[in-house]
Amino acid sequence: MTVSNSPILVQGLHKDYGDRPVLCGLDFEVARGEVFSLLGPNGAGKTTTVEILEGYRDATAGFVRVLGFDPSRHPRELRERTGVVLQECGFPSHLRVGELLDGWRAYYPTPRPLDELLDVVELRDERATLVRRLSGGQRRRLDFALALAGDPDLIFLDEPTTGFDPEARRRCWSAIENLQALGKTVLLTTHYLDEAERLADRVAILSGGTIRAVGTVRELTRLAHAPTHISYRSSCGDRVTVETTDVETTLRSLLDSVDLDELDVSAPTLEDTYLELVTQ
Amino acid sequence: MSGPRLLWHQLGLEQRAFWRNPETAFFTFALPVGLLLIFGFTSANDKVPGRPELKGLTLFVPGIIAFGIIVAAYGTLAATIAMLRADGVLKRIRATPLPPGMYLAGQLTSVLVTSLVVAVTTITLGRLVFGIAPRSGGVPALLGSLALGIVCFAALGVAVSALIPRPDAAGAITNGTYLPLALVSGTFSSGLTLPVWLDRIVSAFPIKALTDSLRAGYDPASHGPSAGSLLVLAAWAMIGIVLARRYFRWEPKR
Repeated sequence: MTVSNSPILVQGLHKDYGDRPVLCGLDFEVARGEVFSLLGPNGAGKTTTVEILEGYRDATAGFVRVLGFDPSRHPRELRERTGVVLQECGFPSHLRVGELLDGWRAYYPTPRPLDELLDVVELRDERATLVRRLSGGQRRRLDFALALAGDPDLIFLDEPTTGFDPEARRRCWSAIENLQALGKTVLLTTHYLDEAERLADRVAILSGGTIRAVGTVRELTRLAHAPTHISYRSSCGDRVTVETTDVETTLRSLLDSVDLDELDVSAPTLEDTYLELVTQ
Repeated sequence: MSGPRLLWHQLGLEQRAFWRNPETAFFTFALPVGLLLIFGFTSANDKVPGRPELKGLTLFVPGIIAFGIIVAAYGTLAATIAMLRADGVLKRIRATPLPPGMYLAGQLTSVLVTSLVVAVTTITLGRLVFGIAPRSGGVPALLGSLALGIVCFAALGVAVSALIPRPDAAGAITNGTYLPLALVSGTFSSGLTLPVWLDRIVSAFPIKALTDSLRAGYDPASHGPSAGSLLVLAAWAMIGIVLARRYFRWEPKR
C-alpha cells in the first residue's frame, strides 16, 4: 500500500447501493492545509463519498485513509481530530446555544474556547438562546460551530451554503477562508461553481460516480479547450462575436482593422469545463 | 474527561433537555401525578371489591407508580429516541469522540432519574395527601420491583424505538401498545376480574407483572411479589435488551 502523509487518501473507491453502483473507482488525495472541493451535480455521489470518509458508510471496495485511519472502524482518535458539517441535521433543540457548544467541547481533548467559537460564527448574542428559537441561518452557523468545537485538523463540509442568501454565503465563505488561514485541511462538497472557484485550492469534478478531472481551477479551465469570446459593436451598429483560442493574435489583428466599441473579452471559465465534463 | 464525569455531563444535558420540553415533562410527570390527585380526591373512601377492609387507593397508588414508570421508561424514551434519530441528532453524535455506549448510558441514566422522580413523587403524595403508605416491611419489595420495572421498560423502549418509522407515529405506537394492556392489567382499577383465558394472556405481559409486584409493596395481606411476576419482568427485560441491541439504529432508514 502507498505510504502517504496526506490527510485524505482514496484509492479505487467503489460503492454500490444494492445493485446500483454510485461510486465507480474514485482516486484522489487531499494535501495538508488544502481546501479540496468535490464539485458535481446532485446525485453525483458527493455525499456518499464524504459519508464514507466520515465513517457513516462502508465502502464496497477500495482503500480509504483519513488522517492515517480507516474511518469504517470509527476510531476515537480520528473523531477527536475531525469536524463534520452534515447536510440537514437537527440539534437537541431544548438546550441553549452555549450549553450545547459546551456539551460538545467536553467530548474533545483540546476544545476551542467557547467565546472564540461564538465569535467565529457570529452567535455571541445568541449564547443563552434556546436552539429551537434560532433562525435557519443561525442554525447552520451553529452546525459550523459544533464542527469546530474540538479544534479539528480536518473539516468536512457537505454543501455548507445550500439555501443561504447571498450575504450569508459570503459570511460562510469568509469563515472557510479563516480555516484555510489557520492551516486546516478542508473537504468541501458543493454544486455551486462560484463556491469551488472562490474557496478551493483544488477541485475534483465528480459526475456519474467517477472523477472526471482534478486540478486547480486554472488547470481545469484550460482543460476544456474552450475558446475565448471577443465581442464588440461594429461601425454598422451590430454586435460581433469572435471565438478564438489565441486571444493575443486575434485581438492585435482586430485592433489593426476595425474600431472596437464596447469591447468585451470573456475567457473560458470553470463552468465551460464543468458543463463539458458533466454533460458528456 | 473520565468515564464517570462524562456520564454525569451527559446526564446533565439530557435532564435539562427533558424538563425544558413541555411535551415530555407533561406526559411523563404531570399525567401520572394528576391522575393520582384526581382519583384520590374523588374516590378516597372506595373499598376494593370483595375486601371491605382495604381502601381502593392502597392499590391505586402502586398502579400509578407502575403507570409512571411505563410512560417515562417506555413511552417517552421510545418517542425521544425516534425523534433524535429522525432529526439527525444521533447521527451528529456519531461524528464526535463521545463513545456511543456512553451516549446511550447517558440517555438511560436520565430515564432512571426521571422514573425515580415520578415514583418518589407518587409515593410521597400518596403518603402525605392520602395517608397511603407501603405496608410494613414492604419497602424492599417496592424498591426491587421499581428497579426491575425501570430496566425492563427502558429496554423495551429502546427496542420499540426501532419500530417507529417517523416521529409523528411515536405516540400512536407507544400509547397503542401500553394503554390497552394497562387497562386490562388493572393498573388503574383494583377490582378487575377477567375471564381466565384473558387473565392468562395478560399475565404474560410485563405491565400486569409490574403492577402486581408494586402492589405487593402496599397490600397488607401480601408477603412480597410473586415469583411469576418477577420472572415475567426479567424475561421481558432480556427480550428488550436482545431486541434493542439487535435493532437499534443511529440513522433513519433510507
